[in-house]
Amino acid sequence: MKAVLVFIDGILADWRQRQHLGGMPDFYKREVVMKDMPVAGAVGCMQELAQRYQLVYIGARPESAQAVTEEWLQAAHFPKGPVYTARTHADRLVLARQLKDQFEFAGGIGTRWNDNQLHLELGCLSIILKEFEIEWDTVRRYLLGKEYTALQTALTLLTPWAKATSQPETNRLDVTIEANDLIPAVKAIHASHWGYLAAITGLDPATPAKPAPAGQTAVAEGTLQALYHFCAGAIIVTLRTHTSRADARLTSICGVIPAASLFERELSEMFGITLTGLPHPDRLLLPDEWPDGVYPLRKDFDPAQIQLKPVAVASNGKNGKSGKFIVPIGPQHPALKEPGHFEFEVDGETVTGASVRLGYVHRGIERATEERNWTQNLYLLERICGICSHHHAFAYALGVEKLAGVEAPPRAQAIRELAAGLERIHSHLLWLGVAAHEAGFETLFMYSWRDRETVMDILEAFTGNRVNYSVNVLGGVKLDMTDEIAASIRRGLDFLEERTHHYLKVVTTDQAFLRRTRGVGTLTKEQAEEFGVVGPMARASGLTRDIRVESPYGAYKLFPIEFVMETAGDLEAKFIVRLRELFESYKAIRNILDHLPVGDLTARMPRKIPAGETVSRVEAPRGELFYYIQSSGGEMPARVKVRTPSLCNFSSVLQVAVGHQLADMPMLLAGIDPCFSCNDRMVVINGDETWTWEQLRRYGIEYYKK
Amino acid sequence: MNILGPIINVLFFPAGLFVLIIGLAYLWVDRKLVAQFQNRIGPRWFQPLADVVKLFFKEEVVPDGVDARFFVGLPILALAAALTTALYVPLVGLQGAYNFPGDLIVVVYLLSVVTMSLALAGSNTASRFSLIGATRTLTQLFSYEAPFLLALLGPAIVAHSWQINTINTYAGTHWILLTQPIGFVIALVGLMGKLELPPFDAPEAETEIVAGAMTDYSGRGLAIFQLAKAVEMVVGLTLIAALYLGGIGNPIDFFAKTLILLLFLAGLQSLFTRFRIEQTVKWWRYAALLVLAQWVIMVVLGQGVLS
Repeated sequence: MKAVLVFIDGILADWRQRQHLGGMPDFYKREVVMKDMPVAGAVGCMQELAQRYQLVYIGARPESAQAVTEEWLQAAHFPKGPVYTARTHADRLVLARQLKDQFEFAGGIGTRWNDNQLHLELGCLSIILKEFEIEWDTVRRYLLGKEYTALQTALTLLTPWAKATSQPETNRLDVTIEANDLIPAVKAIHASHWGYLAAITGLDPATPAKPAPAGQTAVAEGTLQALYHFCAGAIIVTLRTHTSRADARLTSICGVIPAASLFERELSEMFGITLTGLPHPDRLLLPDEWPDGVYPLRKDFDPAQIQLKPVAVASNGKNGKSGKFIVPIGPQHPALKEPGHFEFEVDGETVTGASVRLGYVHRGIERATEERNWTQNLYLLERICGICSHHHAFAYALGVEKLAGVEAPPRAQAIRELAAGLERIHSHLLWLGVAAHEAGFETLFMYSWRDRETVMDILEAFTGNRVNYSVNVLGGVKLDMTDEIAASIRRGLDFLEERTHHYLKVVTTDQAFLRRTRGVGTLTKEQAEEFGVVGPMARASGLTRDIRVESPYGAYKLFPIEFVMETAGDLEAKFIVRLRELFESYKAIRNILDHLPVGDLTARMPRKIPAGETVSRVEAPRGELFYYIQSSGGEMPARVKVRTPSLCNFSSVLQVAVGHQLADMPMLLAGIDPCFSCNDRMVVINGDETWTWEQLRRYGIEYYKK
Repeated sequence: MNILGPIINVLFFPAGLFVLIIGLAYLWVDRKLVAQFQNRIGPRWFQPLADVVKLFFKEEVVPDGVDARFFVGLPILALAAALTTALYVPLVGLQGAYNFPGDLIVVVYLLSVVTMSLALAGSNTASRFSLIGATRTLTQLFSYEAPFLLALLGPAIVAHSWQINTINTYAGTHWILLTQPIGFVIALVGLMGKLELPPFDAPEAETEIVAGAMTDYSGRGLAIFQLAKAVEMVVGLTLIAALYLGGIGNPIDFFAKTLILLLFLAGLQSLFTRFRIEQTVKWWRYAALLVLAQWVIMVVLGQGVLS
């Protein structure tokens, strides 16, 4: 633990009540000294500091006054810490030299120039403040960091509505509020520009309903919870609201934060919470045939009971009830290789409106995690997405390790970051090709995908797979880095770096291409903040949003990443940001290969994870990937919520689309690098045949025997 | 004999079967070259033929809400127009099977019939992609048609004839490319616009409107449209080579000159990003001004200098 040197007189102790005794022997008399008042705010700030630092007190007092000083500090409820006294400045300098060997000082707090000299002697941060009128926030800012102040600000903001608060982790604040207070609380956060809405998690903590008497529908007891996660830097503030299970109802926060619309629609469909005031309450994720009143993430959901309702098929050629000319893109369309459905209202070539429908490949993975054990889930979650599979496993493993209180060994952490870097390279190069294809620049598409094969070969050599690398296990990694592979990675990176320079030149100088990207789809910084975009989208609009930098996890503390940012916010900026991020990845991977820590690859994980809940965030290639994991202390999680970066970014494209040319739509969509598999995690397959796990397993074995 | 000649001309040579085969071959060369430029392997030599054969054997779906007569008739009209043009151009270095004063204008307008049929086919269906594609096809037609025509008439003026054969003979001794470079470039790029090749492929931009006007076509109709375009390409290349590249006098001349043009065409296709339709229109506005400027220069300097 690092130490902080705190000067007593004038900073902690207000000795002005005995000023008239100055120079007299009574000045340090016990009765007199004990009457000193602590300086306003001193005790609170020192207690906060003591959580992170060892406090060392120093006073310009004779040695005879040491005992009384200690007594006074204790009486005033200052945290414990060694107390040193020295009458003259020269003596204090000598003292400082001795202290330097005993403690590692992070900073010193004083009021005079000679305190500064003392701090210089210690070689630490020096904070010099005005005597008796200390601005403790300055101390907090420099010694506790801006995250700490962010946490305090959030606490102050939410206090009027808080029914209960807790701080389960150093960077998390959990505030329980009444459902009626939701809007004012969210407004308070929004109005003060404190962070952004990262996700809304629904929870059904209720025990399954008792079997209902014949002829009656089961009514589950208890309440449903909705958790609104706000993030600012490393700090996560969760607003926890309750609503009754029988009549689940909350007010939509879309009026305050329009970007919440997709989150709320997901919450409403999965948990059956009616959100009053939701602008577009139509289905987002569940299929059209899904019966009303069946909510798949409630604990009493029974898949066997689903009776799909018939749906009228809209006749082709009619432009809907509105009479507007609507161009549908997806779920099967050459512009979108993945199934999502966008409807663009057009007037001639100009887009006048846009809407989205997701869920075509929803696979019910969140629900499935609740029926598998912690280890099985690692492999299940990895399959959420084929492009950022490692990041899903990474986020999940980090979260579970946090819950279990286990930390993966440094070598494992480094290998995880390395795999994440390789995945980012392949993802960004893939995106470059797709985006070029959307613009009709086939040559760039072909070239970038040819070069992407280099990193795919590296990944295959390193992990054995081109997709779903399966690098992680809970508590570490299963693959080690060998010199041979390290050499091949270095060779590959050299080649890719050269190519990336070339591509950066192409996208910034090719005139025909620039006509399609420069000034197109501009998302200003304010808009980006308003829509809560994440990842390269946010960084292209001048927002400093990168979990790797703001809240370094795993090995990112050891092998940091430089922030890449552009301010233009148009498509060109999105190209530049992603390409420049590649250079950062190359640098970080080389750095890891050069300084790979030695040691174990795994730490021992318990089979049952202690009860608790945590939030785990990683920066996937597309932006912040958010995992909420809840354990009830068993072998299986109680709830795993996944919020993928694409969901945050969709709403921005729908807003920006209006006023653009239809020809720009594929580019705009590609600009966010959407990943539909990530969003969709549920599907119901109604076949004639239902296989049990055992049958499926046997089929798999037979299949591979051939 | 009097009857057999025209029948052979129409069905086998130079129009009909022969030009279809040459068209498919040139289509393959184009695809192969673009693939090579893009660092791909590209299709095998028989791929365009195989595509057409496959399409002929596939079911032709006539969607609801279309006029079936137009739906079936328009591709045939397009192919017929394209094949007719082959009768008037010096394919393989031979004189056109038929010629008359002013056949250049007829050829240019027959080539436009191909595009018009495509646009009509697009607007005949209820598919939104087709409708937008048709609109774009027509928009593009109106923007390149005038400069393209002006560019082809440049050589006609200096040769004092609107008959392709006469211009071809005249061009045999005069490389008009050297005196009318602007016209040549506009004619070549105009051909790209006509064929809807990148970067002028907004009318069939697959990432926006799937296949544009042809979205609803499958099977035979699609195959016929593709053949019409292949023929259009050969005829267009022949016309430009005859008018600008020193005429076409023999088969070696024909293949060398048209293939060199095709090489340029393929290069241009792989160099650019697709233009948005309004960017295309803007481009052609400048092109029209350029070619007009060249006309003014021709008139001012007098034909004597240029010829």
